[in-house]
Amino acid sequence: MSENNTAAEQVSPASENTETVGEKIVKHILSILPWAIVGTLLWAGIFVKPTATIKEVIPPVIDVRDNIFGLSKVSSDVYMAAGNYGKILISTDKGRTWKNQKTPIESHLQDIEAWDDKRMVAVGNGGVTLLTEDGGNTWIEVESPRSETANKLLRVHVYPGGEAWAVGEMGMIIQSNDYGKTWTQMREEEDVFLNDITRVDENTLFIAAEFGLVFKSSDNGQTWKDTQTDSPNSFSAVEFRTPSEGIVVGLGGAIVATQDAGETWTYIPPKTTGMYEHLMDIDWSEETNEWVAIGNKGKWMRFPADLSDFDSRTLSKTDLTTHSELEIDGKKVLAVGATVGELDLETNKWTLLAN
Amino acid sequence: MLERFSFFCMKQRKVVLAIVLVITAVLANFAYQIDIKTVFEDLQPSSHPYVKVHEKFKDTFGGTSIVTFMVQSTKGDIFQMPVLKAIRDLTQGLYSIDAINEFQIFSIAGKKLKETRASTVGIESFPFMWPNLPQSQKEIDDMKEAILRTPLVYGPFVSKDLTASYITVDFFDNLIDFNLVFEQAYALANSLDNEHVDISLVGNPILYGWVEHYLPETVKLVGIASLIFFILLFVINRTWRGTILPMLSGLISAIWALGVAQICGINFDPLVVVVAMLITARAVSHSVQMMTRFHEEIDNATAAGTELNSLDAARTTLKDLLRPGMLGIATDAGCVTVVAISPIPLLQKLVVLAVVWVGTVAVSSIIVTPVLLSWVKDPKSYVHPLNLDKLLIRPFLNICVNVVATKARYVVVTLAVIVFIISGLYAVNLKVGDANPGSPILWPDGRYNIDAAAINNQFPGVDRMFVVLGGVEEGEVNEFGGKVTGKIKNIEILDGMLRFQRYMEQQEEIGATVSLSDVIPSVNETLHEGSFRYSELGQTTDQNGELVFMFERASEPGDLLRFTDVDINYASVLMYFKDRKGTTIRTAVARVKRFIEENPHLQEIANITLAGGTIGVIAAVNEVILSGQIQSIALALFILVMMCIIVYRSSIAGMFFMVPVVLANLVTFAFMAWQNIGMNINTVPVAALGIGLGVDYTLYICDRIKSEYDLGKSHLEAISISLHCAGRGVLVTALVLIASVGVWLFSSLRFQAEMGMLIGLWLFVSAMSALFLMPAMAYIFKPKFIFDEERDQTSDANDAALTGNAPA
Repeated sequence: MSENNTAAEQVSPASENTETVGEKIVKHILSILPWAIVGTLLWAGIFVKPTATIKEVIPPVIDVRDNIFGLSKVSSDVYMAAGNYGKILISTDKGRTWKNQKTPIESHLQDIEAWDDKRMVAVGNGGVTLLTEDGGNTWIEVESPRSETANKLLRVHVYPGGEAWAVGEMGMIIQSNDYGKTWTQMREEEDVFLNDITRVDENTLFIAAEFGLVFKSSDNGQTWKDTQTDSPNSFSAVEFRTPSEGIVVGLGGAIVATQDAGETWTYIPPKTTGMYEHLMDIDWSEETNEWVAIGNKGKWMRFPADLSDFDSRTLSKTDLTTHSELEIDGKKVLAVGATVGELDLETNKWTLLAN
Repeated sequence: MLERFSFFCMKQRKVVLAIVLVITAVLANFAYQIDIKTVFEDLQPSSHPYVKVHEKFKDTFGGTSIVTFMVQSTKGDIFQMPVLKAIRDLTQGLYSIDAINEFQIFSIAGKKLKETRASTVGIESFPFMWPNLPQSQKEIDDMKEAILRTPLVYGPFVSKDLTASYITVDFFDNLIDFNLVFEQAYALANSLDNEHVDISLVGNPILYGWVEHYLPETVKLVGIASLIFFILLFVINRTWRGTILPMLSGLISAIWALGVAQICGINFDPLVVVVAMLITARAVSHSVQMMTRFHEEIDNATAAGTELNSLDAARTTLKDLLRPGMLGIATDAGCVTVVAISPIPLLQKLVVLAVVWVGTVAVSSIIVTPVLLSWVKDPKSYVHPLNLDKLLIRPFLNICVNVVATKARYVVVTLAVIVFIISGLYAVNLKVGDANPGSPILWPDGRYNIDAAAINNQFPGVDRMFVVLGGVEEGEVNEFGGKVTGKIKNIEILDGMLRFQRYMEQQEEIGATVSLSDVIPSVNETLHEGSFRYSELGQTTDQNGELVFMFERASEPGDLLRFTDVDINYASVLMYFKDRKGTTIRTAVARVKRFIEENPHLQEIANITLAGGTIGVIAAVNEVILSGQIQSIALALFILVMMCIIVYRSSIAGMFFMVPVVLANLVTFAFMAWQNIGMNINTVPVAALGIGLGVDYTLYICDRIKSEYDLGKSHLEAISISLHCAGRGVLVTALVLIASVGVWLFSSLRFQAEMGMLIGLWLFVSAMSALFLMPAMAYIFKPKFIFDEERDQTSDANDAALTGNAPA
């Protein structure tokens, strides 16, 4: 506008009869300008459609909807975690912050384990096995035995020398001796869910299965013997603190214990422990000299090796979610599940991390 | 022609007046019956694809009339008898509210929300406390456990800290009466409010109920504004005619407009009151111009020693002011008409109302005022001696003249340019959609907004948007030639839904999303003894089909209706929003589109379609407003420019009159951006009507300069005469209107207060540019359409004598 007006000022004094070339040009521009503006208005009115600026949303590393099923301690500082939609996470600060790693799959991962800070394995839905040899910079899917009926690997454990064992649906037990590159099926398939596996000594392995079943192999997995315990519920985790002393925990607060390397199992009913919720994982804490188990609805419990005193607790008033795996480091427990958090065994305080 | 018309009007003044009176009487009868209410469908752009989706699915997936209650325990969690009883009583009390859709009541005390549990027969589902309250502490504890186990309830319907419960009810849109719902819902809530619970409630029926609730106050404010108006006019004009005639013009045009609206079946939205005021302000403004000119004619004659009768003075007034008056009205009407391009029925109806209203000003102010003036017996008499003209108005107008005559005119133009630039930069930040959380219609400390904040704090959000997935092609049949069912159970669609929900929830303002895919994992988990590792969809389409079947078998017909249609061919993803801000909604919509773009395969099978629910409809409205924003301003300016070009036969005239318009609008937009007032369905009409507002004052002033110059006056003489006559009219109307608009600042409706402020600002900027800027520009640039070159130039020499300054 102001340009236009300045121009108008120069031409307006009509008393001047002689016009310079410049004035002629200005006069021409002036006679065109209004119509140019009118045209622009019409054009803008008909064609210009403004677009909105959109706020960028940066997705959190661990989403509220994320379920993290598996957790593995690589060192005191470094943890690996695996969860839904092929999610693999690494933390180098005791679980305080996490970073996503790129994986080639979209299916849910149930567990992850590491031989060292480079070589790791993850298993999950569809019987998928993933492998990395560079600390998770590249994950590749490797061939592994599958069932015709259903495939879902639920837990994996690794042992020195490149050994790995994974268990899952349809009685699937697979083993690798070359850091997860090749896998062998160690048992005929059967319609039974195997939920956890652990090696006790050089020949003995135990498996926590469904409907109160515990499997044992004394010949390094060649043959398996199942024991029906007194627990009516399915088991979800097994752990031994010595070759003879072990605990299996499961749904509905089920706990069975052995003092004789699995020859006999003692069922400890919920009314003894006060724990009626599902227990999903258990570990022995060297530092505090007790078993620590974690499970559904924010429940957790601690009890000594002699099973004399059971302390069933709730993580916090607000976090009543389920946790599926735990790792103990000193007096701290890192747990994953619907949330990720740290439990202090001294104060019993639960701190949410990463969410 | 102008002369002939005014001569005719004056000659037939009795006939003219009689016709006007008869029409007014007839229309008053209609105007009296006009329906004052908000019709919610009118707020929806019916042709917009989102609104089509909304209309198709609103009865299944939730409409825009949902009312949300929150029962908050005052001490401890909700699991205590008095609180549970309040929740139960509230839920049952909902049935006594008119027009509720009883299939859309969601409460832990209702029968739609249930826990699914494994049992010997597979899956069973149990309501939490329906039909009876728990009978013992054990039953309360069991219920608490059951709620904690159900993620679709714990979080969305019982707050995470367990201290509040969320209850929603939907209404049948065609039966709803906002006012009745408002009264019944608050009566219900207040009857249950006691020392154990606080009850909050929100929702569109409640919001618009508040607007109607304040209607008596609105009427009172209109009364007070009129009174202030009356008093000021009386004090300034010092005559009864000067007081009553402008008000009479306003009244006549209001009656005509409302009468015509009633005949056309247009209802009067209470929020439109401010628009009505804007138009009435114009009627008054034109009338005051007439009045001022009339008195000037009389005074001039007296000064010249002759006696002029009222009839002749009125005729001259009409003849001279017919052009600027009519041009102003035509421009206003033209600018407003542009708004009708918008597909929103409310705006279209408003355009009809506004155009009629503005049109009637041509009769009520421009013809009726001079006609009535022609009967004045003693035009020189005054009622009271306080002469503000002498004390205030004339000195002020002298300042205006002096500004033009001295170098100060350059300062004015420079200032205008600075204001122009600064407000232009600010105006860019003007937001489409609501700019703040809560409802911008009400004050932040009003009960409604406090309730909304409380609920949004405890729960995922009050306002919802749903997108629809799936669908059947026309004529599609299943393999047996029958009705196609269950298309949504496809694993890829179900999984896609979950991924979509996860993607959408990453946006902070989306508190939660729910869909069929959230139901299935809990059924699956239950079937696997409650193992967390099975909290996921079935691995195949068949498995999911079974899981859905199990859920359905365990529930009542219709329990899935929140998530799918009866045939399970369509599914919804329901998103809960924490606020209705324009940016929030735009971001959400853009993210839905981006998700679709990034998942072409999913889109092929799932056909994700935007969008229903309150937020879906607002998204549509905002898109329409955004895409029409530049359009309506540009076209309104186009009309303005063209009219000026045609009337003054000069393209420069178009440019010239654009200045005050653009300036007034930029300042107002900048003010809106600064005060965080968003462009939404309520503010758009005001903004559109404001476009034409800036020009009226300038037209009167410039037209007078032109006619005086044509009569042989010098540049400055012409400007001075114009400022003292037309300028007086501008100053008086601006003063009186700004003072009466100020009343709205005390409105209980924040929207009215803000719009009052906007209109005040508009009037102020328009008046200032008409009094200072435009005369200065006219003098500096001397555009030909005002200062005709053909005329004898000798009188220009007088300018120097007049001001002691050489002309520029």
